[in-house]
Amino acid sequence: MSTGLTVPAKDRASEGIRWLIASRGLGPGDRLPPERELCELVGVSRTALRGAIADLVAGNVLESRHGSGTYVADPRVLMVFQETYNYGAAARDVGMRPGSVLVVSGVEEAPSDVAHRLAIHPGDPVFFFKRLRTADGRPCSIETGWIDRERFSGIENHDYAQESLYEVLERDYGVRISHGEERISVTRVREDEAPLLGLAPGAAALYFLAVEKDDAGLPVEFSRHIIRADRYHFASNDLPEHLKRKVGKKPWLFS
Amino acid sequence: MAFLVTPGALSREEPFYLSIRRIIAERIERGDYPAGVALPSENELADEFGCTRLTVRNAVGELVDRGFVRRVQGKGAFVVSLWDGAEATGMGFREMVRVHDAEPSVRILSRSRRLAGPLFADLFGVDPEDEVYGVRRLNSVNGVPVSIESALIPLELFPAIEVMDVAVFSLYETYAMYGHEVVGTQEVLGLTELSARDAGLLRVRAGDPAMTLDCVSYDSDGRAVEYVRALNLGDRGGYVYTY
Repeated sequence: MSTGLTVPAKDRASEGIRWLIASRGLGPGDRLPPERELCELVGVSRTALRGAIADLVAGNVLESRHGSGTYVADPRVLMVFQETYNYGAAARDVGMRPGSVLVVSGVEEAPSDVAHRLAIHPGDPVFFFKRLRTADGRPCSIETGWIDRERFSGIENHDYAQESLYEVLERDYGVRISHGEERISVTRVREDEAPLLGLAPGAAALYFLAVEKDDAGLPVEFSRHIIRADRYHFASNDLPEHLKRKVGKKPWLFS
Repeated sequence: MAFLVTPGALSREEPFYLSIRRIIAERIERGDYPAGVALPSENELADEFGCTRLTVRNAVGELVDRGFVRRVQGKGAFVVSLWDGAEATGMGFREMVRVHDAEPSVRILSRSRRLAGPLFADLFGVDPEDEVYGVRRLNSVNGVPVSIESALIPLELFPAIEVMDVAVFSLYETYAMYGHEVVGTQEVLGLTELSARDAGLLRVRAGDPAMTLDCVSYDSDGRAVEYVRALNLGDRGGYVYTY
């Protein structure tokens, strides 16, 4: 083997572990072989292996449990944009039980950025609600949504810990979400958010902003989400239907 | 306006202006400083952070370079909308690039052949001993690094890719020339902590968060023609998805 073609040891270790998981069909909670055996299987030193494991733990593929070894990480809620339309479905798709806890809700005067997103005037009344989303009882994200209360009067008379907002919109107002603009970036968890999410203040989280629109392209809901990336993440699959059937609806390696 | 400085945001290990840059960027991101509105004056910010105006100016200067803020002569520094340039495409995630004043540049960090190995052999439908071609790129905007992209391409499909100038032809153009036009992608987005090496390239601290985007591109036969892993700091707007 020409040395120029050799893959760097840490990359080889990382790819080797991912291949082991895929080829052996290991799933969440399954334990990886002990370190010495893994080194032999993958053909790398302990140093390279440990580096790769640290990267895969940081990327939420693996989980290290102190004193007992390395495991395939717990399943994560996966929102595949073209396939799943709400949080509940995204959780159920990976075999998890979705839950929702209402933190606070009410009517307020629209702050300027909210008004801008909803194409209304600052100070116009908006219904807002903040929910903690859970999967199998564990916190995944904090979601705050705003809706134009003039257009959707009575929208506040529902329990959004129980009901789906989009179902209410469709059933009671005849409005279907058919367009949207979503943006994902990174933030740090604030002191008021940390206890809800079970994270330390300052921990990194995904930051998701969405404007959902109706058939006519009018904004219906603006929402902000602080997301634990080890519990909840995103995917896109824009292949034509016949190719989805061929290569699978779930993205490659699903990680 | 009183703010709570997020614990961990101020660090002794990095230059003070970088901490301030991050805190202001976060306030813009969270809507505390709304788009279209001027940032507090240099004096006000200097008072709040207990630093000199020069330090504030350096921090805001970087935000101007990153496209968060636009300076208007004699009026101050205005927050730019993070959604500018987002349009309906129906495609996958797109890296946010704000149009005005942005000068993107690409630096090729490495180009090399390597063995596919079992994982990528499986993805590309080749033999583990077959060769794949790797290209690592550092993307910057206005000279400020924003993302690292590592691409792997099966050489069997694109035997002359090594001699193609990737600065002239995009990889997608190159694939189309070989009869493997990309018809769609599967992408997964997550979060990780940067290694010391990647953090150095992106000029942030080791362990700082970055978004990961794993993207597989497919041709019309459903054959994987490219795998890319991108690391994106997310402090220039991250990724958008529109439908």
